[in-house]
Amino acid sequence: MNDFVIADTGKCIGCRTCEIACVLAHQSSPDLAALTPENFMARLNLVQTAMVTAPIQCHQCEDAPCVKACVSGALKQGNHVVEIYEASCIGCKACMLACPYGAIEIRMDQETNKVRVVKCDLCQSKKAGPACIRVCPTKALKKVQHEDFFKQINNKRKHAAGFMQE
Amino acid sequence: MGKQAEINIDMDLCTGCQRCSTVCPVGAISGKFGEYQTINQEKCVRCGQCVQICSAYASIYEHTAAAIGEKKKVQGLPGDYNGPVFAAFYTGVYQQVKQVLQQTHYYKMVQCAPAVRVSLAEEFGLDFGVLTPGKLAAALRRVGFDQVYDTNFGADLTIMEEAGELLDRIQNGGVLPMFTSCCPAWVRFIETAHPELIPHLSSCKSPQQMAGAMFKTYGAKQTGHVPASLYSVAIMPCTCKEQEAEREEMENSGYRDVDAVLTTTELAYLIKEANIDFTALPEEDFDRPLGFYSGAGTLFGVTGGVMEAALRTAYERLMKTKLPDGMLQELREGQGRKSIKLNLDGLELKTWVAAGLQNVEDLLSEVKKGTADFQFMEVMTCPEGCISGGGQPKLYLGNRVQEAYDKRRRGLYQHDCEQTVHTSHENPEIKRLYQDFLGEPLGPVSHKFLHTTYRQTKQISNKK
Amino acid sequence: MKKLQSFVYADKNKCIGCRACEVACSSVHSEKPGKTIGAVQGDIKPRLFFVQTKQEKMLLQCHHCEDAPCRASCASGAIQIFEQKVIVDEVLCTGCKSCVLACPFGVIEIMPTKHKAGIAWKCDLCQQRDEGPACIEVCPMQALRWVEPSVEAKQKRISAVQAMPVLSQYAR
Repeated sequence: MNDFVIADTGKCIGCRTCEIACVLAHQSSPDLAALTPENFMARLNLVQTAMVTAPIQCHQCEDAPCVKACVSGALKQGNHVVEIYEASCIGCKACMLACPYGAIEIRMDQETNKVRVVKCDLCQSKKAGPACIRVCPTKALKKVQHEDFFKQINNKRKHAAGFMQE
Repeated sequence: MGKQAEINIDMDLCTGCQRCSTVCPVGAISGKFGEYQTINQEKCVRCGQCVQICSAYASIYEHTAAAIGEKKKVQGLPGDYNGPVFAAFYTGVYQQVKQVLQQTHYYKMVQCAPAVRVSLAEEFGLDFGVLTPGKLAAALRRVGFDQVYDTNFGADLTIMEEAGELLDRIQNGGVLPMFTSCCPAWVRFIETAHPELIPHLSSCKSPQQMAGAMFKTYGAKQTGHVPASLYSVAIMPCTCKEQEAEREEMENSGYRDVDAVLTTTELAYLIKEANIDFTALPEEDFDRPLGFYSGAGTLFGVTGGVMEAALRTAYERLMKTKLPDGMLQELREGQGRKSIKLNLDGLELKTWVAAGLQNVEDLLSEVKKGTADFQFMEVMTCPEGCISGGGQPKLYLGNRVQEAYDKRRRGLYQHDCEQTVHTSHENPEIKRLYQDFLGEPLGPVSHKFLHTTYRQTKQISNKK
Repeated sequence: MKKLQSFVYADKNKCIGCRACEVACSSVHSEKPGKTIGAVQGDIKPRLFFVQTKQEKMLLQCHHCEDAPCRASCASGAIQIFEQKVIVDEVLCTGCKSCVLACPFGVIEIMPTKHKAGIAWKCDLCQQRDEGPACIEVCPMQALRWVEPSVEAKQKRISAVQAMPVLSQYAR
């Protein structure tokens, strides 16, 4: 079972701090001044509609369509996350078509002329964990750990069973 | 597989997309989606619409050249044919005709359907519907035909006989309504699915067969040849005409009216094999007497054309004046069905024109019940009549087929305008034919050579 | 930000396997002009490829990858980006087959032309054609579509967000 990050639409105010934090966290060294529209590659995307606002990011699917679609081995199931092997990416965009959430983007890094797979990696290489969660001013983002996932479901069932016993 | 004058589906190449079964007017094609389809040869009326729409083919990525060569053989395609091999195919008599053309002991006469002159050029890179009757005649001579006659002459002849037959049935209590009989797929449909309606079919042969019968009798006399040395070929936009030519009864003169039929595409291939540069050919005329035609005759190639040709003659006969321009405009509008009402000197005439067998089902029910209120009906199996026939040039961009139909249709109406004579009965060669040989329409000589009989073939439920 | 390269993609739920797209593709890339089978003749040489299994049918063609391995593998520089498309220059191509091996989708073939015994043959998005891709035009089921990858991804994100309020209680 994979971990994943999810947003509470009731709390999200659409401030986009999560996006900025994500970009900074994935720079080789965080540098706000170096940010330009061309190199702003956030791995979660804030979406605003008339009724609801929230960021969209990779669900780290168990049966990930992006992994199945990838022909070059750039996406694989990893340690409780869908892992990216960027060196293998050829920018074919099959993963973009496959992902039902639009949570993957392919970007050409203008400076290095390398293709980048832009997808949430759960900040696995960061000790402090997902940057987006830390910075969110309304605590709208939460990481669902795989071990907690089952506990949560179990609790719901017990709760529901409890109701029915009344 | 690949029996002469039949349509078949290569089960290896068929992908089971079922576009063929969707266009089949008689529900003769069956099979599961995604698996190969098969044709019920007893139901099939040989209209060839399946052949026209089929785009599954032998891919060079999937088959060796040898394997594709084998399929060409099965389909009856010439050995050096270098085009694509499709799943649904018609097997004609190309090789047979080619062989005869190379011999000298036959005197070869040819006729072309109206639709051919407005579509053949497409096979040489020209746009849809470009009229090239002059180059057609020139090409036919250069591939080896001795006399270049024309089906349009046969069409004029058909009008003489059929208009006469209609009036005869109306005036003398004959079986009504009368149906046209020039479309062999329609005739086959009646014979197999509605045999009780056979008496409604006009006893007239089709223009192809009438012309062929004249080749072997009047034509033989004219050219001083014995009928046995004549070889009569027809070029048709149709995959059913070869079967029509092979019908047992089509030899009232003692000789086959038509010995072989080629499709428009087969003729194009013949011309290419002979290394003739079609677009560079000079304009030549058809031979007289049996190659001279009226504008009415050339209209047979489009839905509504037979009706218009017949009504021009009937109107002038009864009203003693020319049919006003634009009176039959609705007949020129292409697909589906339409009815025309005319008052001809007290005679109330209601007629139907239909293209597509599904468009006549309810009318046929009315006829069976005895409640039909019309006297005459023209039926074509193919969606816009012969210009949309199974033997016509096949498009690469299948979605543009309506554009092709529109241009071919307009081309034929244009050709009508260009003729010096616009009614069948005014055709001087027709007048001369009756004077010198046939006597009068529906007379004993006409009856012998120009009329035919039909027979019930296997009784099959006409439900799809 | 560089716009991602578009490409044509088949919806396997709509494809009936009629192969009309292959027939159309071949004709519009033919050296002979003409609208009918008889006019153009020759084998059908499509640049998109029909694939069929017991359960499914689909058409596969070039994705015009951002970091195309065919281009990377081409030693003669014949494969370049031209107007946002990955294009084979038929003059420079030697038919060395590296790109055929390099392409992970298998959507490049080697094909003879009038002037050459064999060159790389792949979807060029009908760059020479005013009306755009012939395959899209001819498909009777509208199974082929022109993909703008970022636009489609954005639309999916919007739909995803609209579905989210149902989930949000579990994020608490």
